[in-house]
Amino acid sequence: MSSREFEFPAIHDFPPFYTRQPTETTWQSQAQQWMDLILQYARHHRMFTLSLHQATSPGESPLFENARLQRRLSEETLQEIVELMVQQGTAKWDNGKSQALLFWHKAEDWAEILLQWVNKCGLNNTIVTFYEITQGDLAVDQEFYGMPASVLQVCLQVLVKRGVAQIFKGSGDSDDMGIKFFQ
Amino acid sequence: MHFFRPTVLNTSKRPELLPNETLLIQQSNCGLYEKKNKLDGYQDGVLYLTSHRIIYVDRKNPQTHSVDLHLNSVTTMEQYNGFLRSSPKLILTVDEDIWKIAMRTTDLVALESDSLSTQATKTFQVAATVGTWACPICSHDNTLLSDKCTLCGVRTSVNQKQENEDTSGSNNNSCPSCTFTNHQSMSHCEMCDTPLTDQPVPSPSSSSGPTLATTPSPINKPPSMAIVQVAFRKSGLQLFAQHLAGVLDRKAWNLATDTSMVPLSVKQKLQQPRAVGIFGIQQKISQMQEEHNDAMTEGFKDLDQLMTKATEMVHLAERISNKLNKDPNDKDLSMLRGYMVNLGITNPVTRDMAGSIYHQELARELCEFLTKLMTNKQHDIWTLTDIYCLFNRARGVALISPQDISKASLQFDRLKLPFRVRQLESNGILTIQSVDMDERRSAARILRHTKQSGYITALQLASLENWSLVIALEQLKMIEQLGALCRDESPSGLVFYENRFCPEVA
Repeated sequence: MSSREFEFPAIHDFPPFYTRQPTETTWQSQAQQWMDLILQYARHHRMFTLSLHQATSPGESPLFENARLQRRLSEETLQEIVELMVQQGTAKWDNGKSQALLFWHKAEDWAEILLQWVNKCGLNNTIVTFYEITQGDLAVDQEFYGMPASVLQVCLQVLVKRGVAQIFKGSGDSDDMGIKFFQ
Repeated sequence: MHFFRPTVLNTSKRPELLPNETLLIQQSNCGLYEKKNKLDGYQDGVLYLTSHRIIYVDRKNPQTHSVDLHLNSVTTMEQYNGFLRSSPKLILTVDEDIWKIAMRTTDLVALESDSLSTQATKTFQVAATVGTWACPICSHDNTLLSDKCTLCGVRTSVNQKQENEDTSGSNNNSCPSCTFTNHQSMSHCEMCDTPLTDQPVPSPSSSSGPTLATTPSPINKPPSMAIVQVAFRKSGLQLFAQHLAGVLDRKAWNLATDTSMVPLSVKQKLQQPRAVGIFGIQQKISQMQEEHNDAMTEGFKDLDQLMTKATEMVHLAERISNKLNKDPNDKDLSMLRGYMVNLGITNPVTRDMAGSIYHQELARELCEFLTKLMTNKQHDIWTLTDIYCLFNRARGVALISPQDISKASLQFDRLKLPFRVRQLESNGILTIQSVDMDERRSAARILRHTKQSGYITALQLASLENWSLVIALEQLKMIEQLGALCRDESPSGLVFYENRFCPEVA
């Protein structure tokens, strides 16, 4: 977690920002600004998942609510925004339409980062568990620290497709997966 | 074309009425004839009957081919019911002498009603040249401009004026043998006893008044008559003839403006002798019935009184507003203007007056009313419901239904009147605006208001621009569609801000 406070842009204090604009052109611009803001905020706070209902409940998220203006983004509008993000490739639906996985780095970019980290730590050709990657001591300073398994899965699939890694299922628990990087 | 004179129309192509003149009935598809000849260019138009004149407004060229005929010169009226191809006609006999005098006085009246500053000197000059008449009661010399003696208020008849014109113009009777000037009623010269002849009728050579007597004419010359006909191509002859007969009887151009009512019931009560017994009771009952009947007829007379009082009220309001106009900071002025608009219409168009062209005439009247109401043509929009309320309030009596007003407003386009009906997109409400209304200028104004205070609500805009709330909201939504404003919806209401999302559009 980063220690410094997230600085909201000026648009966050503009009351119409929280109302879904009926005019198309205005809405496009508004949605884009929301998308950028969400990704920045998620990156700053290492948020990988977004629960729509919880995020737009009163008093829950300083991102979607401005206490001073007393304005809050509604769940429907957030859903529309996330839909646009999915189309752009910066988010993925997780649980129907109530949860979303945020990709402030694209899956391919994550794959690169993981590969570089594996090479740096010299973990090639060994089997590394998912747990080690996301919660291990070596990964504390990394951006992907605390990444949920579902997100990691997506990123590693990229590598598997490329042919530089292979996923193994753990012998005991089904949710303990391991991955072996070649090279 | 001899008897019909060109007449003045107002902006919606209806005739301008003289003071105290009321409109009675109008009929479309009429044509004018003089003697037996059709008048070219005057065969298809609307005929208006007022208490003082008959006015013809041509349908194709209303500005150039509209004429009127004053009814004081019409002596008799006949109906001709049409046969085969000839249409039913109304035949009016016009007394030329009266007509000539009437023309002179209407010229003078027309001059009077022009702007006083430029015409004042002219009227005085005309008065001087026209001559004076002496009042029979107080022998004060009045000009021929006025109907009443300025000193004692006694009215003069046309004949008296005519007589006096003769005498004043032609300097009384001068004896042909001894040149002594006798009084005009003398048949023999006072000095030399030679028989005198009657003075001839003064010739209407120019508008500057009677000249000296030229040719002598026989005594008791019969008044010269001429025939004027009005053809009714569509039906309507009967009703028109009835009304015309009523008008000719009433001779409203001779009536005083103030008619005071003598309470008849008071007089009656003084004259009843006391009666006793059954006979007395019967008498009392019949007396009560008579009183009831009288009260009813009086009551209806009071309605007519009320109408004349209403016109007086309008004049009063106009006079007061003219006085107040000198003080532009007075906020009472705008209130008074509001009352004036409310009292505006003294001659409402009704169905029995207009018949089949009812909605057309109603549209024209509505146009006149709107011209008075919309002080800022480029900017005013009114909803049809507001106009309906204000229009009915101005009419006072003979209210119209919403259906009538919507039909009338649909005629604006067809009659090429300067107003437009527009339907708002979001809720389908009908509005009326002038054709001069400029959408872009309104949008620019609204944006300026927004920039001033940072944000704007429909309520603020309605009070700033003097629109109704619905219209203000609609205008804001329209500008939002253009991308110049963005909205903020919250439990406290709908507020519009400058569009910071797309600043290049704003």
